[in-house]
Amino acid sequence: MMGMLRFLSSMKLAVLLIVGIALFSILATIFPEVDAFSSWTFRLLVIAFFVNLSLCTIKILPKFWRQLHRKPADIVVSEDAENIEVPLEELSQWICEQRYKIYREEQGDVVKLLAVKGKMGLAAPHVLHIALLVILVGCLAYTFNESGAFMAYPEQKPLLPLELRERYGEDSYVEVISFETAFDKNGAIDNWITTFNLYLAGQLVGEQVQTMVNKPYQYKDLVIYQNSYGVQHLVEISGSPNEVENGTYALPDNNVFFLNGNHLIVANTNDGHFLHYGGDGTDQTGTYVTNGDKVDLGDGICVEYLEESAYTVLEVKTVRGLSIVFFGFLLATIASMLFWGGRYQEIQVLYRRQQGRAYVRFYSKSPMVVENMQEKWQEHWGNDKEEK
Amino acid sequence: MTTWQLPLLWLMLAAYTGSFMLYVFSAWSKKENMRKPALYAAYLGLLMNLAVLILRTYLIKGLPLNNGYEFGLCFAAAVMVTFVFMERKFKLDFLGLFVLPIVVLLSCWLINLDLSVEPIMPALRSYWLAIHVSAAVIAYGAFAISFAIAIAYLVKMNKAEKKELKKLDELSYKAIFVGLPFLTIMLVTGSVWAQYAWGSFWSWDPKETWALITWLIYAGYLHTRFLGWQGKRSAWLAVLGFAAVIFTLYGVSYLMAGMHSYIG
Repeated sequence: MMGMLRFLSSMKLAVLLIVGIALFSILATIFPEVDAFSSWTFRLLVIAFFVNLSLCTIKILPKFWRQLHRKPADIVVSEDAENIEVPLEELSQWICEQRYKIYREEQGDVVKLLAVKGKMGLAAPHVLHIALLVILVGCLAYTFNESGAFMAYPEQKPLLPLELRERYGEDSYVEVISFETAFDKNGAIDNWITTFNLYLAGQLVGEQVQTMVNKPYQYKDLVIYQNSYGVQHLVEISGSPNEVENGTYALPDNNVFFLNGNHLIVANTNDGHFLHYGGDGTDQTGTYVTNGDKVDLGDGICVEYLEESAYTVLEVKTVRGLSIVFFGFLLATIASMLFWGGRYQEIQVLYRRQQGRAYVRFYSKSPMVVENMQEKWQEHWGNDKEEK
Repeated sequence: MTTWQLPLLWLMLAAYTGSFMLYVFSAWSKKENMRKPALYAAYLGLLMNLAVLILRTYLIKGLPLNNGYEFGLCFAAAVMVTFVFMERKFKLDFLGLFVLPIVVLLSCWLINLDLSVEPIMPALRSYWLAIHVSAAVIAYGAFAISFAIAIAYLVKMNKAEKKELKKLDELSYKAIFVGLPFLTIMLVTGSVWAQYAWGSFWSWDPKETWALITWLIYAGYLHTRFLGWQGKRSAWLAVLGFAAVIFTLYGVSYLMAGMHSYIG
């Protein structure tokens, strides 16, 4: 049992899972037609990663806490450690020059020094691990949200998608007041803005509110995004031999509408609204139209171009769990900054006053850091330590 | 003034290529005195690189971080600034031999891009863009340097002294240690921005997924260091990590459709 726990919390398993998730993700991007990220294989990988990370964190945190609050009295330096005859103050000064923070404790003849550097770096991986756990929990909560999108013209009152009405009440809808395109001072499109009233269960909860790209509207855990927009052309068709085809239509821009067995297409071009009728729509014959123009299509069929109208597409979704995910993101950012504090390292010194001798031990998780510390020590104290 | 970009880019390419050739000549002929001119040519290239960046900033009246061309300019500058710093601080006079090819290839690609100034789409008009892309520039710049040092390690593996190899191994590790936190910030800020712009902080878009794969490779690199990996194995992992960076930047943009397709 303990062996199993040790394996589940091990760094070896962590590396295996990291490799597994990376390989799986590579395959998923190569074969996008397979919805790999919804598969149980991927979920199992993520669950295993979560378990490994949790157990590893539980195992390591107490050790980390003890290390963070270590006192000089806790250190044990054996007498066969590196040692040197040197005045204590001189040694302390050198350690300070290396930018270590020194904690000192005296026990009779013995002085113990604990010099530490990179405490923030010590915390960084643990904070990052916790951040990843928080993000994964948030992601799990986030998957239970409801969402849906709908299109609407100004003055329309589309109901919220069914999933959301089930949550907020049947009489939940958006009353679109206006949809406009905002331009910057150079005439380029700056944003798309929908102004609307929001009703939940018949109650007005958002009056004359706006949603736009990068600045969605939020009411409690319900968010409305400016998802997209489109253009339609309103036309009046008359004289078709097929009676049911006569009437007013909103034709989506550049889409085919079948009229009397032919293609009718209205498309926006740089020169205006281009109306094409006949054939399969691949030839470029047709005419430019403006509001009120009537075009005779032959066989007694007449199309009157009424106006162009823009519609907005709004996406509505609940965002429960998002604050957890964002908190995880915040922790991950803090962890990233902590990493720049450098790698944690200690110089442990046991100083015997009567002998005037210091016994020194270097500690870091990274053997390379220890080697570097030893090199620096040797450079300064190495060859002439007896004189010092 | 838009047309001034191309001559400056050609000068930048010429200087970087010249610098690289001088480094190659210096290594081949073992003439140490050629290293200084090589370094000066690299400085000149960097100067041209910064000049194009300043010009572009003036042209677009904002930070040049909006498309693949602008990102490429910043990326090349970040790689060169880090190179100059490393070269001076750690006396790695051969490093140019491995860094310059990266910026030469990058410059060749930049010259073939559309240099005109187009208005940016509404989704990109956000302050998150500056934070997200700046973090990417720094992270990828650091990874490029770690890659160059790792290649240097692999090339010198059988010839150089143990001490020099250890220094290279440590420096490659340090560069990744600097880059990975920035990559984390890039992923975090990108996700937050995506939530506001697209309504979803993660969509498994190919660009996002490959950025995560890159992050996983470098996270794996750091974990394997704790398991005792170093030297040759770590160097290969650093090479693999940078291959993932390149694929994220260019492979995904050209080979896979997705929500980030505007950056190519």
